[in-house]
Amino acid sequence: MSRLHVSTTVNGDAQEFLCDAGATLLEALRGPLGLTGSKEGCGSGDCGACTVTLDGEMVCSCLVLAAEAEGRRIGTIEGMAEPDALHPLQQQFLKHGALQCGFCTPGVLVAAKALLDHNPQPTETEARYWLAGNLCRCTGYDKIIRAVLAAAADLRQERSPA
Amino acid sequence: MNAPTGKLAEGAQDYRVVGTRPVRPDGVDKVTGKAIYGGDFVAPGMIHGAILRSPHAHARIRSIDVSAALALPGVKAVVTGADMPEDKALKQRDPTGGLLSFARHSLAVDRAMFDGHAVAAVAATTPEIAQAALALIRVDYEVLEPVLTIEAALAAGAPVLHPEHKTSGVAPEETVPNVLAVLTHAKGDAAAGFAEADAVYEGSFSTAPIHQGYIEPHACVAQWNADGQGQIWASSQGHFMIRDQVGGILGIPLANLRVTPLEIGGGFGGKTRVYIEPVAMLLARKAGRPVRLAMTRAEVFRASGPAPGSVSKIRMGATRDGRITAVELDIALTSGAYAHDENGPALASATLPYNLANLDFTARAVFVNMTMTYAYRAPAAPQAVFAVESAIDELARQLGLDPLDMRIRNVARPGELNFHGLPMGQVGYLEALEAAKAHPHWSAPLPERQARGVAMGAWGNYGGPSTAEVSVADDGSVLVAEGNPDIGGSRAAMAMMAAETLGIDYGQVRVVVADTSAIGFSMNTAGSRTTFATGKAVIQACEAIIADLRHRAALIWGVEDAEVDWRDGAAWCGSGDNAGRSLAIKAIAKRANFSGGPIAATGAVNAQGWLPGVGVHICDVAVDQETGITTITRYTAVQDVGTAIHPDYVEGQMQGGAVQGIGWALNEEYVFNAGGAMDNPGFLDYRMPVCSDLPMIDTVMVEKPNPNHPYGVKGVGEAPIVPPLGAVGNAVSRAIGKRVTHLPLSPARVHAAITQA
Amino acid sequence: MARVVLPRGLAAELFGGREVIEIAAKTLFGVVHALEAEAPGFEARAEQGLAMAVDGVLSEDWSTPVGPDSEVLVVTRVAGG
Repeated sequence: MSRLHVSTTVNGDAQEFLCDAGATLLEALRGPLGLTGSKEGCGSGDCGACTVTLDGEMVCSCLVLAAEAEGRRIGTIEGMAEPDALHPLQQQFLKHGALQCGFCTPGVLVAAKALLDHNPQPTETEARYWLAGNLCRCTGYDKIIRAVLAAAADLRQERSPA
Repeated sequence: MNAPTGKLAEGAQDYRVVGTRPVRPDGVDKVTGKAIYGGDFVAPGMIHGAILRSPHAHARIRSIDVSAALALPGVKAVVTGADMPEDKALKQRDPTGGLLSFARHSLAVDRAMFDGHAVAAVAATTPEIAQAALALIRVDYEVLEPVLTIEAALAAGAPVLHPEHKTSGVAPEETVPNVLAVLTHAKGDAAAGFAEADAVYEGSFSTAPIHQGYIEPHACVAQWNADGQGQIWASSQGHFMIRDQVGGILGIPLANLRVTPLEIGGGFGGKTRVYIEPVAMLLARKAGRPVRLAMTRAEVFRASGPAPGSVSKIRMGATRDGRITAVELDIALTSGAYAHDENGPALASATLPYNLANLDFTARAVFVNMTMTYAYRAPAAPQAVFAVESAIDELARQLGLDPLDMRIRNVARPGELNFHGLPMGQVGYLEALEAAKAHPHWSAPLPERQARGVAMGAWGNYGGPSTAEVSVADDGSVLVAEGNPDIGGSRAAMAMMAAETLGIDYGQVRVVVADTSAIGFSMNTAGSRTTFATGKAVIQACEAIIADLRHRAALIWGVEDAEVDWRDGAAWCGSGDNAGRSLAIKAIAKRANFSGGPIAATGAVNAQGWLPGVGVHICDVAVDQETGITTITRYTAVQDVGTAIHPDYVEGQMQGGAVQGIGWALNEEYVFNAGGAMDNPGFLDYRMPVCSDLPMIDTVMVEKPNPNHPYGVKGVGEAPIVPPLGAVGNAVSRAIGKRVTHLPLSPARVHAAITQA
Repeated sequence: MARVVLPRGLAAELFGGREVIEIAAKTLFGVVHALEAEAPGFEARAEQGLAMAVDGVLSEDWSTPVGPDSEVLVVTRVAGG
């Protein structure tokens, strides 16, 4: 069976790869593209560890066919930090101790950034429901939510310094 | 609200580094996606493994025909149980039968013992070819009647899963079919205790098997060289355990097997043994290529090591003033298809924080056709304590007593004799109860139609063997190498303890987890032992370094060692021409080669003197009467943590353990169909708590230091999962006016209890 | 002679029901070897899953001295997950 050729943009860079028709975007990211930051926790879209953005919207990359990336913009955890600075979300996660094993962290960070791109001032409840698709087994979510709300405040401050 | 300064410190000291909250050393890699976990590692020339698993819960394997799979282009190796060593060799290497159980569980030989049991494996150039090869393997099964529950296994006439096995803990002629082991513990006179009781509660409780639920599935890469040396890269809770178990199963000398730890995405006890690693090595040997082998989520549920289900009967008596006069407990735990015995921890934990005169306990581990169970956080303690804490709650209600006061009435104090009749050390059970009682949550008025529950639970913790090596570089920076995979911040804790001991800044210390060929043995990162035991090894090495640095300073100054002090990261001269002068660690290290050579020291310990952890949890719930859905509206976890080396990570353990317990109480369970297959092997229907299910988890760290550790450490990882089942169960029972004694308290179950007359 | 106290179940399984055994030994090593001689397999069990306390103090160091009037308590070792 011949493979498909896909041209796409990942974290702002033009990328291409070959894949089987049935391959998922997650497999393409972790395989030919060598971007192992997005994780497979379940393969069925239930844990959120594979969360990436597709044209700015968050998706489970294990539920997206690799071929669907053709001509579109993918955002992964590897593209979140600047070369010389972590994103405020990443900084707050470290400051709050919002990760233990860190396996869910890439997916949570990408999802949290998508939240703050949509809603710069979420309430605790809004944050919890937005992140309900990202399973974490280590933290009990407390420090994650605190970190997200703190980063939201940082970003609001950055955009309009008091 | 989180209480970052929730210390009720008695005897707590003012440390420079210990007790602060620096950023962890592995943090940046983890928030940028750079950290390499089990499934991220790539070896040059790597091929892909896949496992064929039995669809039958119990079957004889008459034959396996792999010829078509072998012939498929791209397939480099196929293995079956025939490639595993025989029973005799495995028993010789481990007479207790442990290695035999692990080997047979990893790959069946003549019988499939559970749905999901591995019966064959392939390695091929692509994952797709490997899957296609699995489909070409022909297995001839003779389906046998499965035994699917503890009750079924113990029923007369049940199929006997291991006819050759003699039940341990009883005389050989008293072997009970399908019972792996029996353990009893009696103290005092339970009959007399019940006779003097003013109130007696009797109840039956049960819990379903559940999974640790780590988000990272098992994954490894195995490689074998023609000269008999092998390598494994894996995420696990112990790479020495992987080396010893794979080496023991396959008969490989341990020095010939190098296991490199990758980052681990959660373990909670479920990654303290091998599952796929022996199979990966068999494939690598046959293929002559490195083989990556991983589990899918469904495989993790079906074929790794979930926590035992339980069936218990409890009888508890108390006098009017709340003194518990007798406890009778009979608890049966699922061993699964092979031998896994949690009787010891079940009985030791059941009433651990209480000083009770009369006990009559029995625990039984039972064979059942499901995957062999294995350790979860505080093995068997949540199940046993669920029954005990529920009984205490019932008696408190019967007697009209405050539930915390009743526990204080019976609490065990330092110096009193423990379960085994040995005097207790500086346990903090009373302090934890008092802190809970003093917490605003306990006295807060209950919102309308909500109910409150409380429970206490303790875990004994452990110490054990660890090795650490500390060295000082020319510029005075310090390197620590140790052998414990970092699941939740242990590298930070080690760096902090090293910095504290040496008197230097946290930022001057770097910690790595060294592979099995680069450092001496370390027992698993498990059992709430790492900060305690590996910490002791690190501190011991640092103390040797300090002695060495003082000696070199003495040489430089021309004085005796005894005249050199070490403080604030420097040597201080006490006499002679240089009296009052100091040499910082950097100044001494610069001249290391001219004062005796490299500065390095090893600490190797079998750490003793560990003390238990204890949690007291307060839980408010609202139960929807129409749907049976329970919502946790407020939760507070109080715990005696000894000394919180890094408070963020201690709080994290408390919160994570509490939420795992909440999931255990409310939603999580293995659902088996009539044929013995798991109906819900995925995260959609195996329902773990999600963000929107929960409020903030408030924490109070009570610090009652352990005198047997230089910084007062008591293990903290496991205690927090022990109270939640009782706390949630007690809250729900008060909310609906009835006690549901089977977990999980799923909406259907709670609703049925509400609507039943 | 030191007094070794065994858990009931282990005594029934390996020692014909004897829960208290008098042993002449100078260290825990001596105790383990003597018990192994009486019930082959005891030492492997001790290594894997038992713990011993000498006069009220748990010790995994088998060189711990055992006196002529010592009591050695054998219990199940509990370590977690």
